[in-house]
Amino acid sequence: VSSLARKPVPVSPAKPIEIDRPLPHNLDAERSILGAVLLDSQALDVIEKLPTEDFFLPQHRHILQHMRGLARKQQAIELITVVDSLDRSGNLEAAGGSGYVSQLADGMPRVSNVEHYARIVKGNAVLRNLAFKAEAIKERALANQDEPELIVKGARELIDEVAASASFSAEPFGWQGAFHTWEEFESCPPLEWAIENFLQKFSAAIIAGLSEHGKTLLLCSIAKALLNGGNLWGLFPVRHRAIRIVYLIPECSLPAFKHRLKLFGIYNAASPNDGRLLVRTLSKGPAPQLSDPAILFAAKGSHVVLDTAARFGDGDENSASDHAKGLAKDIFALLTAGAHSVLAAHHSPKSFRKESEMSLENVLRGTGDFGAMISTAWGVRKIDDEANIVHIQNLKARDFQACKPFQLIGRPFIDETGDFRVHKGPGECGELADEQPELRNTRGASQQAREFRTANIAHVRNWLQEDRKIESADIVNKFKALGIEVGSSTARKYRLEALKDA
Amino acid sequence: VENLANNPGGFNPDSSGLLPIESLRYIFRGQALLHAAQIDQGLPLQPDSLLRTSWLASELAARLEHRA
Repeated sequence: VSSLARKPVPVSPAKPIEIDRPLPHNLDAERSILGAVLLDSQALDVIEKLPTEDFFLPQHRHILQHMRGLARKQQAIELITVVDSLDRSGNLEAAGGSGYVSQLADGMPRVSNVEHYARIVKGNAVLRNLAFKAEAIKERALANQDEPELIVKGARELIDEVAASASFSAEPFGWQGAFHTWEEFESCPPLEWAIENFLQKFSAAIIAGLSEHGKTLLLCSIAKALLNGGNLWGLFPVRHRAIRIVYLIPECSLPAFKHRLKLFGIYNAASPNDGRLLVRTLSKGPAPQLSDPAILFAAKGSHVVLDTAARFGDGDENSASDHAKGLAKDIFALLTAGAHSVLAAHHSPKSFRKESEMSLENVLRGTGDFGAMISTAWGVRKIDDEANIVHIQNLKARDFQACKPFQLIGRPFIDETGDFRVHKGPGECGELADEQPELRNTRGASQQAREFRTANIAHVRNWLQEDRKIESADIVNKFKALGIEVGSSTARKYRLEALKDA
Repeated sequence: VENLANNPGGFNPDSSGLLPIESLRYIFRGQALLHAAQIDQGLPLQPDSLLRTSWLASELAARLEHRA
């Protein structure tokens, strides 16, 4: 028997392939399965999906085949009947003779362990199959008679075949691989900031706001801070300078974007001497697929800027939620490829223009899948065209305490110094409803908005007095009962305000 | 019982009658081990299996007697 263990046993390759090494197998496990069937024929049900060919030793295949034949004929499976069946068909010799078959009764396994043995036999069969397929792939590659793409496609199909045959029970082969191992937990880095309290590493963030509200200028400013280090707007320290930034801006032509890069003083980062800034604009062609191997390769170790997110993603462009799903998948692929962060500009829906408050819901309306996967969201609203004053507010801060709203001013500072300046810092600046000029100027509307807000916070304060542990979702429902529509983000803010007052 | 003895569970004693005496001995020994393991693991012993084993024993005894 031991000499057979070193013989190559082809597993249905197109032509026999010789492998000059011992093939993976476990004869004890195979014998244990056959012994278990002799003990209790119900063991055949447990190994129902284990093909006879998965047994390494031809003798064992013959024996199992006859055991299954007896079961099909509803006849008893025991040594006498199995030997008889083999003998009648002229296969007794090929099965090792009555002596070998009878020895299966030596050292009987526990019937309850048959699944464990089957797993071992299947695992070895998968490895043998893989070795033959790999050998076939190698032969085809070395023959060099087909297009490389065809050979790669064929190779992938062969490996897929192995994977598809790798399960013998309801338990999918290697299902544990779908989850993190303890080693992965232990070796993964701690939460890290690219820009402290503003942009986390290895995650996605968005800058969301209406069209023409300064998102691209803000992204250029962020790119500048990532390239040069220091402090973003004097508020957020850059913890890790960028090795590279991949800036994809399919909505803007090269001359226009070159002008902006020069304005912010980062144009030279795109030169071959520096090479830290890779740019693709409208002038290079339509928006690339984010799953393009060239993009994924460039993304590794880079901060990827998508300006704007709406131009990417494979989903249906006419369906916001479908598109958001496609985009979320693509952004995840970029991060998996090793991107240090993905920073996306997002066009908020026109309805956001009418909103006096800024929330994740109203800036990302209809794109919940996208909102769910990002770690940080910053909402922006230009509140003064002439001076280019932009109100910025954190709308989502996963695992960190975000700063209060603040405002940046662009004119004349971008032209003069190549960057925004802080107009109102966190703590000096109110919420959007307090800061928005159209509400300020139309005194009635502003007054009304403030009154609503104050009244709503008073409601929440009362509810908190009744139940200190009341959650945002409960607050939304309580407002609903009063006929007032309030989003969960707004409810959360009201709760914080009410707690502060208390 | 008579029928089972003549053709126990589809097993044809005539064909096994052609098996060499050593084969019968291997099978008998193995079957006895199987029964012991079944008892050990709390598995039920099938009456027709016991009948076939008895037949094996008698066949083996007859052959040994004949050889002697």
